[in-house]
Amino acid sequence: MGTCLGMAELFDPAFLHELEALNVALLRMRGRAGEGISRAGRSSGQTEFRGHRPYSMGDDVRRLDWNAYGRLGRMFVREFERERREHLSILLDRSRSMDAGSPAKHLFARRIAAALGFLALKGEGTAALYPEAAIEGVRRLNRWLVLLRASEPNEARSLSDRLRELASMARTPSDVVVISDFMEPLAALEALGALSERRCAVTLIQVLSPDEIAPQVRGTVDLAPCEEGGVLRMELDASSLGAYGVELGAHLEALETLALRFGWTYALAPSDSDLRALFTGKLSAVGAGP
Amino acid sequence: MNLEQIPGLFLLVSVGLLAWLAFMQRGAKRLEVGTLFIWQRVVARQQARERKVKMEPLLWLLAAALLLGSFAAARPVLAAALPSSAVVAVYLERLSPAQHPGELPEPELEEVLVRAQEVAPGAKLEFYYSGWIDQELLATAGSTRALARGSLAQELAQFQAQSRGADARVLFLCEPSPAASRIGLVLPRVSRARSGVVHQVELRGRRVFVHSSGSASLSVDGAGLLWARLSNGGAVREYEPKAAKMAILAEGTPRIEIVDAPPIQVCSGGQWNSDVHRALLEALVRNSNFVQQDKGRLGFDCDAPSRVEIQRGQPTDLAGAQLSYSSQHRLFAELPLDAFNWLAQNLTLAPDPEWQPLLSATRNGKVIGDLIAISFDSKTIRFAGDPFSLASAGAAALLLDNTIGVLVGSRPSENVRLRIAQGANLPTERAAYAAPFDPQGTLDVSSAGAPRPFELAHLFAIASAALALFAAWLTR
Repeated sequence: MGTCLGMAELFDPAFLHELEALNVALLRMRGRAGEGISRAGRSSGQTEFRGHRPYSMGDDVRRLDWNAYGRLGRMFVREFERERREHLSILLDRSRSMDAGSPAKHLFARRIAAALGFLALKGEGTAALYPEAAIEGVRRLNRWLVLLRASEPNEARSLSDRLRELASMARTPSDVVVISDFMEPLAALEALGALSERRCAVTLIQVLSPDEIAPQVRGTVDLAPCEEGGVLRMELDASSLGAYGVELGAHLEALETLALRFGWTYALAPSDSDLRALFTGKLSAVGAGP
Repeated sequence: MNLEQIPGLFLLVSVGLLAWLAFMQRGAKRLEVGTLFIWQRVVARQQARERKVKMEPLLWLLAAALLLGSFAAARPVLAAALPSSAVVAVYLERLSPAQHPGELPEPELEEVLVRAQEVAPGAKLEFYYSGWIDQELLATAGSTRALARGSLAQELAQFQAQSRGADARVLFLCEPSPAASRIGLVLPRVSRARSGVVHQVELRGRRVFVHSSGSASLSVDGAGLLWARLSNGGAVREYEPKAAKMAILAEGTPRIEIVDAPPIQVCSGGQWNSDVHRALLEALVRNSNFVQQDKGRLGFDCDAPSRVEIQRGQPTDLAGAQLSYSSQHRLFAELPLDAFNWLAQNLTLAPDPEWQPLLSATRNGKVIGDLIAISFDSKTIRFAGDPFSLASAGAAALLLDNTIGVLVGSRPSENVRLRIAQGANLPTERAAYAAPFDPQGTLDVSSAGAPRPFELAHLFAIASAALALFAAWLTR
């Protein structure tokens, strides 16, 4: 664990082909859905300039074209067309806990982020891997992938701190996707509530490894956490594993309830699951696709 | 070193099992997890559940192992029943002086039978005793055998000889006896100390001295208590009869009746014809409760039930002979034997198996002849010569006083004016003072093949070890 993977290993050609196939699949889904994907809670976003028209009573004075008035002496109002460009911000949990599991959670999390960014750039939107600057245009996909490759799970700050920083940014992103294992108290997600109030669409993608969802180990086990120090010795038997399942289920249910309460999109993504199935399934069904 | 319980070595198997368990002991596996967030909740949940219900099987197993181990340390034993063929001889020291049916019943007899059966469960019991006892009651517990009445040592000697074929012996005694504990298991005859049992009545003149055990009071009619003294766990009371009949009722004692003794009629004849003889008889009649008549109960060489005969010997050479006598006999009590020249008349009694010699002449350790003998019914004392005439008057009076005392029960000098009309046969002093004591000796079952008590300690120890091993297995 903790090994820095090369670009070819992390995002191999097969993965890139998979992204293309994913884009096509989603486009087909949009076609079937009519006008495309419009997600609940999404702001009107930016608009595209279409032309001028004469000013009339009641028009927004902020939309007056003062340059045209200076040249022509008449007041014109600028008209804009709603654009489809997405401005996506992804907060990738880089805490050490993401280094655990088989397959490792951080690998799958970065692939999800790669797919989200690819789809946003492909849709002529922008993608930002917080706290990096936004990237625009699919031609800069490589830059996006480089950023993701460098996002190793070695962040010392907690997810809670990083979310607070994101929420305190002057410019509120239109879409925020948080990819994490969310293995911490849900109070860490309080900052996302502030983003929601600013009409930011929030999506939570919880990545857990299969052995985290259903541990298979039995007997006396020293549990060595990647994040905290120390070791916890436990006797893993049917009783204790049953209790683990109950506690994990309660935590996931609380997280899903929190998401429903704030209108967030929530998806659980095991680290061994199929990426395309995730996007065309769970994320598509809840409208999380770009 | 001996191994009393070979099966206990099975416990060594547990050592091998423990070694195997230690060999199989594996260390904890290490499992990398992202965070302990959920696991800590699991621990908290388990701790909360354990606080609610403490059904830790390991704890119960160890508790059971400790329990069984404790029992094993106490060495539990199943008292094995003796085989039905085993014979246990049981000696009963009598509390009651009863000699004939209908007399005072034997106290605590049923309790003794039960205790005998408890001591030797399953064995055939043979009861040995002297005197009269309720045989029907004894027959319910075993067979009976009578012993000749005598001192404790005499009865124990008879018991030991007659019970030679028994597998073990049990003796119920009034007091512990080191000699008896060598014979067998000695148990107390009574379960509680006796008190108020009269074991001796002394008659002196017109005074009655009653000796009893403990401090319990006596019921006495027809007499006044002059004084009482309590000492050494017993009591001595002096009474003066106030009526013609004095009656004493006491615990474990037959009814005692004391009446005025009538004068003893004496007569003399035969060899009692010298002046010395006449002077002795006159002094006797004058100073004590005697009446001289032609035919009396006490006679001196005359036809009477009790007699003192002199000059009955045959000539024998007694030169250089020595005297042999039983110094404990009442005939010689307080008697200056040297005041008599026993050998001077060279007379000895003819040997007769019906007579018991009291004084004999010996030479070189061999009996030459008897000088004084008493009939086995203690009614006649026979002298080979005439020691009364040859001795001084004082010595002759002392000898006559002792001689009459042997024949009639009390010496004339005691001047007894009372007699025991009923209840003269009293319990022994041992019976009167009987009290519980710790058992002594062992129930020695000498017969081969007699079962030993079955000790359960090794079974408990094995069960304890098995539970401890199971507990160890749970902690693997």
